[in-house]
Amino acid sequence: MSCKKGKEAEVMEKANTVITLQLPKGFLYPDIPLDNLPTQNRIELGKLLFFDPILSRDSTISCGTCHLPDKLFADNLPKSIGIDGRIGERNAPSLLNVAYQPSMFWDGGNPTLEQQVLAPIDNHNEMDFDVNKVVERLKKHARYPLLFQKAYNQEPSVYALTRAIACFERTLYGGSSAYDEYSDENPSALTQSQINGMNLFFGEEGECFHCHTGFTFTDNSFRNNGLYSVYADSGRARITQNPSDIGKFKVPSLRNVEKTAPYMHDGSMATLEEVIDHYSKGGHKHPNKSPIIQPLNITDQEKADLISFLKALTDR
Amino acid sequence: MLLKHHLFLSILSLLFIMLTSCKNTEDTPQPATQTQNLSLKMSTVIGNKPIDFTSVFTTEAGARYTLSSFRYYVSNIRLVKQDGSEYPITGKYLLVNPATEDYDLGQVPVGDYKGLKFAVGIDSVTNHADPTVYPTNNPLAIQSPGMHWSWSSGYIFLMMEGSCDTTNTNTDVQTFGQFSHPLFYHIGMDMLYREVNLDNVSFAVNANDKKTLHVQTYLNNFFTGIDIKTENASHTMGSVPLATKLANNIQTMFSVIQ
Repeated sequence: MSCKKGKEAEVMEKANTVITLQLPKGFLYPDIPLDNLPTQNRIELGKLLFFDPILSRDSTISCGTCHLPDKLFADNLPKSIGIDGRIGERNAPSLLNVAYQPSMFWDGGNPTLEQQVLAPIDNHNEMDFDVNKVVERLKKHARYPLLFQKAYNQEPSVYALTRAIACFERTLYGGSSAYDEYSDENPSALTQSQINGMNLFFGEEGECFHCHTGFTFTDNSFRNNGLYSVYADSGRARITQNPSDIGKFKVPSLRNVEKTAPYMHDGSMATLEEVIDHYSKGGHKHPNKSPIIQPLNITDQEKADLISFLKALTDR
Repeated sequence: MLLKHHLFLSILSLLFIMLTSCKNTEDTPQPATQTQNLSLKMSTVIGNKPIDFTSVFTTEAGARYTLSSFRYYVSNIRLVKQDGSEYPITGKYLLVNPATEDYDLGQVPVGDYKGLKFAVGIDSVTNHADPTVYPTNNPLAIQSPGMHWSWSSGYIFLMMEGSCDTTNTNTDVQTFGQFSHPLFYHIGMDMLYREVNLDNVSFAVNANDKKTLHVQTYLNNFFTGIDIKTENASHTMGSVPLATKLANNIQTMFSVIQ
């Protein structure tokens, strides 16, 4: 009674088997929705869709337009440029380690990676389209219907489209920096200046680690870092309508920070030097400013050490 | 061996007896509640004219406007029985729009009722649930054009779009049927969920014929206290006071027509 499988059937079955994600050393396994566990078929479909401008009204903009693989899945613009040259409202973050984000966007307005997919599609400044029309296009496409069938056992749908892209995004990790090597018990992986910077970063003087904590270097909280006295973008308050949330934005990861300029939610700071100066001075006055943001009075040497350490968070 | 055999047989016969002696204990039959199909007929009038997407309308304050879209969610529908208790029509979400008059509510108990209650909006749990899981024909699925805010993951409870004349002299000239200024209200967020209570409406659902309740929307009431020359745009967030005024007006728009 043994079923002899053909080679082809075996390969097909393998592509539909739930796989274990490859993570950097020391990273916890992320929470994954049970209806979207990773398989080769799903990841490959998601990758195709991620880089396919079919998602946008005039077929010019894909997710990869603003989340470029050679720029750590970010771009180097203060604010990204979408359809018809329109400029978005906020800085595009890197998607590396996005699997660990408990909420999406700088203001946390969207709860899951799956639902996040809907937002750029209908955003006027990004893809300016309609997800139902995307699905119509996919249904008529020469290749996609079969790929959807294989990955999600259904024809192209809003459900499967959002799941596939999220499934691909959960394969994007960054955790191979000099700092990781140092943490993996190689003391020579960091320079003395970087070690000094690290001690400042994790020390009670610098206090950076209070928000930029753990292996992703963020606690994913929403905080007002004193960037402005008056905020053009109210941040978290736009979602909660709570005045005490004005000017609060999600703490970003610091991994690969050297390569993901410009900085802040609006891309208003071009260099790490500017960022360190901002924190060193303690930021602007604002009633919602986090009490952690205080003048640091650090020397130029200490600033240089801090920046050296931040550069040790770049993947190699 | 013999003993085993005996044991086996007796167990088998015991089983046989148990299986065949299961009598249906028949209680005195309860008369099942009789039900009948109920549907809502939803119509919208502006003044005494049915809504349309071509005419120029005038608010009671004297401001001119046109409409191109008017849709809203109705949910949590309840029928009020004579004794004041409520019969909930669970799981029904209607996306009401002028192009569709009839909305099926399914089977409801036959009897006399004295009121109709419903909400305009979507309960907070459903409001923040994943909209991608519904089949395309479900009102809660992603609509085209959209009734869902992907950036704050919640539904737009009521959407009105069109154009308005913002000149003080009412002399704006229409181009392609539109005034020069857009008019749009996208009303949503949990705190703007509004209950509508239509009491003192007696109606009977009879066993022998389907019942249709006619609910009429008086759109003029939507603009009570609203000056559309200046208050003509709200995405709710960013203009919560205006959105709140409009949401409160929603509660005053409906009547049952007998």
